[in-house]
Amino acid sequence: MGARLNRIWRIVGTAASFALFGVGGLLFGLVVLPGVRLFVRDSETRKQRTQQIISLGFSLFIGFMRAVRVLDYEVEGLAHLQVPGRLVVANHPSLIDVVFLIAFMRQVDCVVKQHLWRNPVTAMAVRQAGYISNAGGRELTRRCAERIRAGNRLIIFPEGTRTVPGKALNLQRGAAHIALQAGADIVPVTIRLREATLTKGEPWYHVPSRKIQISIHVGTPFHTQDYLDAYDNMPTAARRLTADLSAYYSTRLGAVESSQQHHGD
Amino acid sequence: MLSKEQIQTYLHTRLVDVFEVPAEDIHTDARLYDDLDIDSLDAVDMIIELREFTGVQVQPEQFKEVRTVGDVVDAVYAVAQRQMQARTSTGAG
Repeated sequence: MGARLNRIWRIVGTAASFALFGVGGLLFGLVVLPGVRLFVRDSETRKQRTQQIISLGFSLFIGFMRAVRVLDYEVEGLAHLQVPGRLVVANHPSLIDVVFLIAFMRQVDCVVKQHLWRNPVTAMAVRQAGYISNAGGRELTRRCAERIRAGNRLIIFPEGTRTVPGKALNLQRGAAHIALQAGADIVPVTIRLREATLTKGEPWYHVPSRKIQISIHVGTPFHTQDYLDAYDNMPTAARRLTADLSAYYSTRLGAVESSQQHHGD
Repeated sequence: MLSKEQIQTYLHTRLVDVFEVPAEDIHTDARLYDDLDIDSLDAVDMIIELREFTGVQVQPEQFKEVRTVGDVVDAVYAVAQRQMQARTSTGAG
C-alpha cells in the first residue's frame, strides 16, 4: 500500500519534473538566450554566460527532483572536475547523466549529438553555448583539443551514444585522440543508475517501481602524457589509452555490480 | 618504382606494428573499418605512414574511396605511377 502511494507520488513528481523542464526550457529559449545575446556582445563571454546559466538551471532542476523525491544521488570525487583543461569522459546509461555532469561544472564545453543542431527547439541553445557537434572525424578532434588547450573542460561520452543496457561499454577512440592531441588528462566518471530512466529503448514516460538512485563516481585522472611518452605514434597511443579506459570501466562497473549483489540489492 | 608487393608488405607490417591488427586478419579483401578496426581518425596517420615509406602522398579525398587492404595498395600504387609519369614527362629533354 505504501509502495503504491509512493509510486503514485513519484508519477506526479515525474510529470511535474518533465513540465518544469519544459517550462524552464521555454523560458530559457524565449527570454534567457536572447537576453544573453543582447547584453553580452563578446562571443567568448556569451558562450561562458550561456553555459553558466544552463549549469545553474540544471542544478536547480536536480534540486527540484530531489525535493519531490523523484530521484536521489550521491557523488564522489568532485574535486577532479574542478581543474581546468581536462577531458571529462563518462559512461552514458541515461539522458539524465549529462544534466548532472553539466550541473557539476559551471562552465564546461560538451560534445553533443549533431541532430540537436537540426532540432529547432535545441539549435539556438547548443549554438550559443558553444557546444561541439559530434559530426566529425579529424576536425572534431582538432576543435576539441583546441578548446581544452585554451583551458576549458570538455565533456565527451566515448561511446558516442547512450550505453546499451546490460552490454559492455563500446568505447570509440575519439576521446583518446582528443586527449592525446590536447596533451590533457582524462577524468573518468562512472555513472550508475539503480532503476532505469531515460535509457536507450525505454519509453521516456516510464516511471520505475522505486525512486531513481544515481551514483556518480569521479575517478583519478588518467595521465595522457604517459601515453604520449610511451608510444611514438597516435594510432597506437589512442588504442592503448582506449583499452585502458575500457578496462577501467569494466572494473568499476563490474565491481560496483558485485558489491550491489552483496548487499542483496 | 615500387611494386604492389612491396607496398603490400610494408602496409602489412605497419598494420600490425602501429594499428595493432592481428597479422592473421590481414588479407587483400579485409575491410579496414569493419574487419580491422581502422577508423577515420587512423586514416591520416595511415597516409603519413605510407608516405614515409613510399614517398607517395595519397590525398585524403582519394582515401575516402578506400575500403579494403587491397584498395589501399591500389591507391598508393596509382598515385606512385602518376608521379612517375609526371616526372618522366617533365624530365623529357
